[in-house]
Order: sequence, then C-alpha cells, then structure tokens
Amino acid sequence: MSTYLPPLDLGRPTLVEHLPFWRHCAQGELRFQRCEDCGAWRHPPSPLCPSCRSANSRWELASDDAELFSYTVVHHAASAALQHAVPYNIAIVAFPSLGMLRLVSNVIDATPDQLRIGMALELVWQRVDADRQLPLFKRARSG
Amino acid sequence: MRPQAAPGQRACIVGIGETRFTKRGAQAERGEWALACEAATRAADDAGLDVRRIDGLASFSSDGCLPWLMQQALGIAQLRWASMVWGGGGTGSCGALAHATAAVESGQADTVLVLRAMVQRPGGRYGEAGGFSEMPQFDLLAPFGMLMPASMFAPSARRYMHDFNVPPEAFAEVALNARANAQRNPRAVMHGQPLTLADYLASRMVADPLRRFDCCQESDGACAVIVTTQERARDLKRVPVRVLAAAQGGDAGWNAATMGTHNMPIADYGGGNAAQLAHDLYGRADVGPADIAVAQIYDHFSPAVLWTLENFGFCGRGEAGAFVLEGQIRPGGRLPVNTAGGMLSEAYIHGVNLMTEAVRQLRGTSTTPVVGATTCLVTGGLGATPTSAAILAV
Repeated sequence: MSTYLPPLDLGRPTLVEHLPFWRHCAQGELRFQRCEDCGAWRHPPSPLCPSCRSANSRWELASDDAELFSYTVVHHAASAALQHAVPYNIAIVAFPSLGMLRLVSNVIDATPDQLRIGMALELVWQRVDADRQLPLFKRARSG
Repeated sequence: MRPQAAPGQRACIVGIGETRFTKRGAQAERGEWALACEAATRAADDAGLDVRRIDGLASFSSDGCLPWLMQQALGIAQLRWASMVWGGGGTGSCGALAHATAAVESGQADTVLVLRAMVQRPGGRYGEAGGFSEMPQFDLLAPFGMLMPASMFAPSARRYMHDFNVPPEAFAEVALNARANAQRNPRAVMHGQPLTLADYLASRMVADPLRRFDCCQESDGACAVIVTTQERARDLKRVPVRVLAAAQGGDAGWNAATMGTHNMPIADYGGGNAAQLAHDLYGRADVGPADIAVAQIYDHFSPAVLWTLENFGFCGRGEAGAFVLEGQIRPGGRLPVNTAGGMLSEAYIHGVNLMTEAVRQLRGTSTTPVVGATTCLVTGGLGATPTSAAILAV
C-alpha cells in the first residue's frame, strides 16, 4: 500500500514523554494523555497536567469527532524525499469533545480545493515501517 | 511599576555595526566569526569606543561566535559577562538586548556587545529539512511533512484569513511596504528590485497561503549593537538611544504552538504570543501604543507583522489587515514599519538589523526617515515562547 508521504527518516522522539504516544500508534490506537485527577486532555505529552499540576495520567482513546481546524498545502519540498510528493497538505486536526485538542496530520484523500476548515474527518492508519504507524485522516463519509 | 536603575545607570545603545548583507552563501567563505568581528569593530568605531573595552557579550539562537572566539579576535581586555538567550530563530533578538540591559544596569558589565552573525550553510538552512531535527516536538511534525518554518506558520495564517476575512492583499501589503522601503536603502539585498502587487500575486506558493514573497530571505551578514549606561555614554561620540524597556515573554499556554503541535489556547490561534509581553513592556517603559512613532517588526513571515500589530495594541484582534490596507504602515502612515526593508527585503539577520534600523531612525539617519520620531518599537520573532521586544527612545 502506498503511503501519503514517502517515509521521512526525520523526527524520532527526543522526549521520553512522547514514547507512549508512538507506542500506541504502532498498535493502531490513537490515544492522548488525560489527567487522572482533573480529567483534562493534553497534547503534546507532558509530565504534569497544565491545569492542575498532577503527575498522574492515563492514555485514553481519542474521540471520533475529528475535524479540520486549519491546513496548509505545501508546494516547496524541504527535503529531497518530498520532491515528488508536493503539493501535499498538512492538516491541523481538532477534537471538539477533547477540548479542541489538536494533532498535526494529513488528509490523504482530498485535493487542495476539497479542503474546508470545519470538515469532518475519519482516522486511518498508514504503516511507515515494521514498528511505526502514522495516524492520518480521510474525509468522513457523512461529511 | 518595577524598580528602575538610577537615571545615569540606565541602559542605552551607543554604537551600531553591520557587515554587507548578501544572499545566502555569498559570504560563506569568510564565515560567521569574521562577519561578527567586522560588525563588532564597526559598532565600536561608531560609538567612538576601543573595541577591547567591551566586557560583555549577548547573543541568541545558539550563535556560533562563542565568547572566547570573540575575546580572542577582538582582544577583549576583561570579559566579565556573557549570555545566550534560549530559543531558535529571532525569538530572542530583543531578549539579548534585554540581557545586555540587565547586565549594565545591575553593574555586572560596563559595555555589552549584542551580536548575531549568519551564514546559512547547506544542510543548515532554515527552509530545509533537518534544520529542526533537534527540536523536542519535531517527531510530532516531521512524519507529516511539517519540516520548515513556512509550513509551521501557514496553518495559522490560513485560519487567521478564515476567522477574520483577511484577503491575501493584506499579506501582500506587508511585503510591498518592505520592498518599497528597501528601494531607498542601498544596503538592502532587494535594493533595485521593486515588487508590484501583480508580482506578489503571481509568485509561487511555498506553503499555502504563504507565497514566496511572504517569506523572509536567506542572508549572510552580521549586526551588532553596543549597550552601556547613560553615564558612560557621555564620554562617547553618539547621542545615546535609550532602552526604555527590553523584555522577553510569551502568552500563557502558548508553549511551542506554531513551531510545535499548534495547541495554543484556541482564542490565540491565528495570532501571536506577545500580548502579555506588550503589556509588560509598555508598563516598564511607561508609554502606550499611541506614543510609538515607528516600529521595526519581526517579519520572518508577513502575517507575523499583522499579529504583532494586534498584540502590541495598534489595532484590535483581526483588524490588522484593514489597518495595513489603509496604508498605516507605509511612510506617512500612523505607524511606519520596517523602514529599512525588514527581513523580507533588507536582510535576514535574525532581527538585529531591525534593532540597528531602530537606532538609525532615532538618530535621524534612516533612508526612510520618520521625521521627529522619538520612540521606536522593535520586536523579536513570534513563534515558540519566549519572544521578545524593546522600546527605544531619544
């Protein structure tokens, strides 16, 4: 199966706090960190809850109400690997029921003129290699 | 009101120095160290100061001209103090000035050189993948092709246009103003290359909605300013330019925001992170937006100028597009901006060239002078927190 972007050998996690996020992705689960004490969702991961300073957190499954909060269509290939991938989109995906928590991703089945702020999105997985999967999105059937 | 140093102990800028500004790569064989030394000695000559008397160094963005290199080349007699502001790009430009100000006002150093030298090498370009690979949140961006600052900023620009009905012509106006000012500035890399709205609209998209001319240049060059106390300035040859205030800051919850996963507070999306900083800075300087005559605003991307105008209270949230389209940032407008051409059209020296232009404005030597200007705002890059800004005055 072809991937939306060619695999980019860039951006391996440097913070240990990010490792559970990617471990869950490898299992095909989009999970975000949620404070065990006050219930606030957070992303990117961090050691303390910015709302209540609790260090207790769980990794909970994301809701299925993803929407396109903003986007760009990239025309400049910043890496030789992307030379044949441009133009491609980068999506800022928001989850209204998770306090508008946002995730950087791509919408894999939309041409640039099909992208609309607010459009409903559906999670899909793309495998990069044996131990990595990326959470990507396609246009929701209802949307 | 915060406690202030006694009048004679307050900080001022007494000298500025610049190298030639060129396109990226044109001065690579000289290298950043040599460029830094040229800017430093020019700043000392401008001040009428023996360069060996510099006893403090301040920079930002992990500048490679380390204190001991500068001590070695300049023959600094006694290096008392050195400081590096955290953060990449030009977020820390006025932060370095704030550090220098704190150093001379507290007596930790007498004469501080604020410095930035840039040679963008192949593999180390900001518009190239890999330049950000050490950034702690890059793993959440890079796999999705968010590899360069333009693609990090573009979604904010897109949402800003959507929320406030801002037309592309508003971004264009920032670029056209910068280019027009550069036509009067022979030092500007884009001198002799005028730009029209038609050229702008026809230029290629880099990361929609950011076109080529919304993005700053890639330049080689160096800039330096020398900071000392007003008392010491009396022995030097220039009219001192007072640092009314210089500060760092960044709004709550912003964190890396546009340079990270875009999880700033929702109300701040498609905006800047300098509202708290602006409030703080005006308080320290005891002035307000109405008192500012001219501004040098960090223009890595043209929408950042609009967001800065809003953060610093020159117009309300979402109103900067209309403000610039009324001609308010042009010469003769309410707030002339980036009078040497800014980083869009003069050179990209991480905003220290904005500081040197602010000093020229207040000395009356700008090539696009704002007659009678006694105050100038200078801002650092919006992006990751902290950003920074300063208010200078004569």
